[in-house]
Amino acid sequence: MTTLGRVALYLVFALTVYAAVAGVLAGRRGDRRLMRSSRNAFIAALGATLVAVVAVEYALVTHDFSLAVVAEHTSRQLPTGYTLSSLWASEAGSLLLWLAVLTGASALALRQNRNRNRELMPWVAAVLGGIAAFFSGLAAFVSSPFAHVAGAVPVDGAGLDPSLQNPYMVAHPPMLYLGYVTMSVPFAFAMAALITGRTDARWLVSVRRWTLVSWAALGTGMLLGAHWAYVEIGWGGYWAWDPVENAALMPWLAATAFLHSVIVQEKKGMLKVWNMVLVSAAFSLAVFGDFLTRSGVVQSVHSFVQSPVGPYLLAFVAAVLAFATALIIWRLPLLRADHRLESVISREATFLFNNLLLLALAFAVLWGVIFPILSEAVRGVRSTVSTPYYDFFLVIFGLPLLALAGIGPLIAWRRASPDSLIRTFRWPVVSALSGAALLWLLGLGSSTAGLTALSLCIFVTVTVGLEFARGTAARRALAGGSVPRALLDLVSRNRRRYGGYVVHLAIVILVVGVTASSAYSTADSAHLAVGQSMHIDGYTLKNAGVFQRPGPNYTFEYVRLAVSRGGTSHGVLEPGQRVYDTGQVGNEVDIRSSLPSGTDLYSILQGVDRDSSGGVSVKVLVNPAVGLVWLAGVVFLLGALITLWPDPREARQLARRYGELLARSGA
Amino acid sequence: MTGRPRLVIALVVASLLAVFLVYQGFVSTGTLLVSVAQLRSDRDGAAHKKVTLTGVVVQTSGTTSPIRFVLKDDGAPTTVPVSYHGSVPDAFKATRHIIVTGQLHGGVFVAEPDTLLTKCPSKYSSGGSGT
Amino acid sequence: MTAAAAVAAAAALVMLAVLIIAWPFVSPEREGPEQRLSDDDRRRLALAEARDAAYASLRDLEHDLRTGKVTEADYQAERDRLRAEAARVLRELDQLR
Repeated sequence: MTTLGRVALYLVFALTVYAAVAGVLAGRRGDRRLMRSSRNAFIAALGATLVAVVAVEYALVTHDFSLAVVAEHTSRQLPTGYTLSSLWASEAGSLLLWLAVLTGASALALRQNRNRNRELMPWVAAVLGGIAAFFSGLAAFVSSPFAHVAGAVPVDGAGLDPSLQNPYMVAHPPMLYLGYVTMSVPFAFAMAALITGRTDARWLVSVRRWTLVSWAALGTGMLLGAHWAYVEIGWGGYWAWDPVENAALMPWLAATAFLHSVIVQEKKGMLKVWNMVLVSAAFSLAVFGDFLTRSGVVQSVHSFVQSPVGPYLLAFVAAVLAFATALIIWRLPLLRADHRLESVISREATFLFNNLLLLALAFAVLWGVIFPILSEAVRGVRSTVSTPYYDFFLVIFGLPLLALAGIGPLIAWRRASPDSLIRTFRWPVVSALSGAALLWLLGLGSSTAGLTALSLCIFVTVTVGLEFARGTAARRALAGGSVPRALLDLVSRNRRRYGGYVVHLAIVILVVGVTASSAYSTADSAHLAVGQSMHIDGYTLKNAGVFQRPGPNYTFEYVRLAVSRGGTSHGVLEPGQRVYDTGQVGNEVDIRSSLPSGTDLYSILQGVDRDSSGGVSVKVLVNPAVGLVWLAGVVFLLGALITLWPDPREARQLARRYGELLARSGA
Repeated sequence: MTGRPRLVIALVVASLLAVFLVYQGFVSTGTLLVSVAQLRSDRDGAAHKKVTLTGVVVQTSGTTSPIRFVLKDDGAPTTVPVSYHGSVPDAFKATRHIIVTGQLHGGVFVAEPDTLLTKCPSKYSSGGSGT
Repeated sequence: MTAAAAVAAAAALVMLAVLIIAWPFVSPEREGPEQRLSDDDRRRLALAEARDAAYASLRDLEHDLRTGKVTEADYQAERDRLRAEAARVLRELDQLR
């Protein structure tokens, strides 16, 4: 089976190289058979990749410890579910997963467009083929999942790290890979548009949906990772600005910018060059993110130490940037804007400012990540930045962004007059200011940034609410009907706009959750003898003793903390440590979420007194509204889905526009 | 674009850059990341300020807080004792590569609470707890 | 899986792949070579896009009026401007026919 898998990987490489070459030839000669052959090559490559995946899974399930990926990440006692998902626990295995998503996405994109975009598709195939050839080359020759274990074949494997035996960790990598990999498709379309000189808006429409998928997957992947870190790593937080977390954030920010500026190009024919740059940046950042995760070049809890693929990935990023830059410069004359920016007080300008802020934030994050490397090269010692650096830029760039999310929807295109501004912004501004005053009275003025963020959240919520309300009213005035009906109609006719508003609401929920759980959270550490209590934020926790409990493949030693508030009992918290049969140790925090407010009481067992007196060291945090962070993820997905939902009207309009053309040229 | 809009856009870009430069230049200079040898040799004043130390754990008094352990560089003999209390990551034990933040006091590296992170060199896995 | 079976399976996989990529060349010819767009065609496409964008902007403008984002006066001025633009584009399109 392993031999079959190896051959399959070599075959994938050969097929993707062929697909790229056939794409180029098909593009130059206009040969449809070559195009179909190139497209078929991706389907065959997907099949071969799946054969390789099955081969690795077979080796995993049959405990074939002669393979390094099996020996280093599984053991005989590992539950089957985690054995199967350990495919992406190893570096080489995760590369295979990347390849599977890439060939699948490429095959799908080419199939979706088999009767459209005729001139673009051969070049799309060529670029996707080039990307796939690179990654399959890595998997076949540099970091193969079929590599033999170094030394003698062990009797049992090293097992999967206990902190990874968690459903969130099963879902998180595939979701992130879906995000990273699908960014290749918009990039390929953009390059094809430049190569063919077909820089009309057609490529934007095809690309918009793929960018949305990538962006939604990256966002969801990050939240899944954050939730896992919160419940499993257990330090009381969910985001540590670790380079690998930033690796996913940067392309997500670039993609967010692109999703906004693409609207300006479609409506006003502006920002054409900018959009090409953004798409290239988003894709480059996605591959760069992969490089950060695999290369071990920056200190991170996720990183490999000097994985062999690192230098290749970096070279690939450089090649991509060079290629894209050359193409953009070559086609600059074709990318002239149809309209100019006439006023700074206009929706076009708000989108532009939105882009500038998003990119400034992405750059700040990028700088924070590569600064240690640069400082070491210059000074010989590494200088690192941590949370305070990132928090500063998040606040200084993020708060104006939040304000823009409320301003943008209410401002007119081209030029907004002062009269209309006063009219539309009166209620949102008044609500935000009164909200700010109220929050300050409630004692939330302890953090200026927090208070500002929450007031801006009120501002955005009111503007979004007004948009929905006014839009529904306008719809009813036009076509009658009940309120729910008009609302549904409104959203369905303007999926992008109102789906976008739902996403803005998700961001608002996220900001409230993040602000509350960071700016207004409290933490305390204490040593408690048996019977001793600690007090935090109105809660009292008493050490009710240390106990032990057996589990399926571990022994769980924990402290029972009796929780009370104002005299009434609020149950118990039982943070502890799992000592696995393999000798590994896993700390398990205990969290008590109170439903209405989403506040978490978070307990960590840091140490048990060795004299068996039952005394413990614990750390307890009160995280207000942290549940909102997870709720934001759900709303985010909902908004993304609404925006993604195909609009038959738009499809008809596009078909009509291109149909007229084809009818005339007699094709 | 012409005239005023272009000027405003340019000003905005300039202010974004300015924020960035001001922060880098005056507010934050980052924390040094040093090896044991660099700490011992007081490289860049590492022995007298808060730094982030990285190395291999040679021996440790335990795996739950509070702990005292000895840190050394890969392939070099210099060691330093570390005293730490706070959350200890699951993967912490002798032979692991770790990162911890703190300051050298009288020959012992006194770590700040909850700043200990571990790395698992041969695995693609998360082996540490955050700050 | 025995060595012989593995080799056989691998060979079968490779042959299947070759068949898939060769299929378009051996199956009967269904369509002629790709039509390239002439420069005139590209101009027409750009104009059609501009026309559709102007119509979309008019729809957006009406929505903005109904939801109170533009005053009546602003609406009239902008509507006239957009209509003039749409008319200009349509005239150019006609000339290219």
